[in-house]
Amino acid sequence: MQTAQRLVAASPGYELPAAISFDNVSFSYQRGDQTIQALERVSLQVSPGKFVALVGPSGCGKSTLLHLAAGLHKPSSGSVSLLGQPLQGLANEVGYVFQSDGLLAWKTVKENICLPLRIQRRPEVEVRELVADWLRRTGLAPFAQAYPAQLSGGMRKRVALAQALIHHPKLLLMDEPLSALDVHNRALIGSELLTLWTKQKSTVLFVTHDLEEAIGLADEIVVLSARPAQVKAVYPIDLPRPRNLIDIRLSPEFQRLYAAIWGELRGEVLSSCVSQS
Amino acid sequence: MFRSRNSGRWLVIGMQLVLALLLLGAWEWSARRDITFQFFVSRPSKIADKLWQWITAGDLHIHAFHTTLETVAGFLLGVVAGLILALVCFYSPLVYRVIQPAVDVANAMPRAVFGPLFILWFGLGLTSKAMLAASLVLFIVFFGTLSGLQEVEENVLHKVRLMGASRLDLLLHVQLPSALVWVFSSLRSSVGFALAGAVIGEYMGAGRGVGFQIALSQGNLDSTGVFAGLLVLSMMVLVMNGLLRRVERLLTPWRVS
Ligand SMILES: Nc1ncnc2c1ncn2[C@@H]1O[C@H](COP(=O)(O)OP(=O)(O)OP(=O)(O)O)[C@@H](O)[C@H]1O
Ligand SMILES: [Mg+2]
Repeated sequence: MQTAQRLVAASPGYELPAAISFDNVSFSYQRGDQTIQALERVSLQVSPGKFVALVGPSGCGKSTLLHLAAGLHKPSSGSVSLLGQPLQGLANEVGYVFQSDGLLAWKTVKENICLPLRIQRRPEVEVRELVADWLRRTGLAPFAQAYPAQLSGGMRKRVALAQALIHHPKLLLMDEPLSALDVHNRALIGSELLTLWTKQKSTVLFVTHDLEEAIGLADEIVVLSARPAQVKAVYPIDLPRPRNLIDIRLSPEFQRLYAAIWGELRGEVLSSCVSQS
Repeated sequence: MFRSRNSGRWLVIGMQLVLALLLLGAWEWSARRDITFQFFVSRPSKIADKLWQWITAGDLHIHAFHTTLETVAGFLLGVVAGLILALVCFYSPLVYRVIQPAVDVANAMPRAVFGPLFILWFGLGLTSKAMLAASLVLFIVFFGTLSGLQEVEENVLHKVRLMGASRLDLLLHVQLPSALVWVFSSLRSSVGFALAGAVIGEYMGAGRGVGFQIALSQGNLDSTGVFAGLLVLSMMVLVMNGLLRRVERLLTPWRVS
């Protein structure tokens, strides 16, 4: 189990370098004199344009993996490469959606959304055009001048998504971007996300607790083991697109995948619960 | 909803008025009955009289003007110095670690002790009072700003850095605006301190200003004059705080109340 299944994601015969590639990546946090091993020899390749979902028990190291992909942490050993280039310092052309939406409370919706363009010093005409477009797409136009504190949770998520997507990053890292939402909003914003992704064709690394959400959205599901995280299995999801996130759950193929992946995940969730208590 | 909030406000104002009238009435009544008591604490009608005398004599506004000038100058000086010092310490933890003991000691020092020294150094005019006021304001602004700069949510910083932000971008888009809320909460307490600094300075040596008037009255054992001076100071604080709140609302519009 340890060796055989780890490299399944790297299907042979790619000419293109992987959009993101983890090679034997280990990482540990230092807390006082205590060392917490979060990742252990993780190897994973994500090919360009793929939507890959990471699932695993709570505290196993999913957020840590995203941090490494963005260059916010350095691996203790092993290496991270983006498009074949070893990652040094911070990744550029990355959109990151943090679990807490991480909006800038002192900027309006509009200013939040156009921040990446402002930082890249894009010409004013282009900024205005893109922002208007994204305000419309996310249905936030009436709230362009509102501040984040005046928005609902779902609206804040949409702002965070627009902020991560507006500058067309090649790589999107999303840490449970839908988890704080109710079921209805989750399906709604999930569909919006799929539509946007279909247009932009960026590579997505998407962390979630919710297996149904993962199957509905992703091309590939990576199951991580309990901490320290290792890649336990990779499941390709070849459900037809475009997908309807609600109806898709009723299809027999969906149910079969769910049963198979949950079978893999259950053991890890249980063992993480046991080891934590 | 708006109506209930408004009527609540009028209720509060009404109760404040009633309370003030009761206290003033009790004060007036007991001072009129007991002449010794009146010697120490004066009484409201005499204070009002005194104030009117000052106003009609035409020098109240000169004194108030000078005190205001010293306060504002000291306040601005302290704010600018505090902000700069906070930025330096924020960007260079080494500098902060080196000067931290000095900052802590200077902050713990009772500033009134420096009054005579400042007068010796800077003379009897505006500068010594402004410096005294600034020395009080500086530390409040310094500590407020520094913690504001340091307490920015980490994920927000990460996110903006990943957008490709330079250090200046981070400062302008994230750290400064996020610190602004802290800066203003420190400024609100600073106004009182700036005024106190200016008045203490005047009290120790000056030829004009409300603090000078208070010192003069005290020299004549004139409690009425002292209270009238205090009343003028209260008015000034109220006005300055009101102005500051305006500026705050203008500069931090995202804080929905
Ligand atoms: N800053 C930190 N310092 C020390 N330990 C940390 C830190 N951040 C995370 N950890 C530890 O590393 C492990 C992995 O954390 P991580 O946040 O990656 O988990 P996760 O899979 O994202 O969990 P969840 O699904 O609950 O968000 C956890 O056990 C946590 O205790
Ligand atoms: Mg996490």
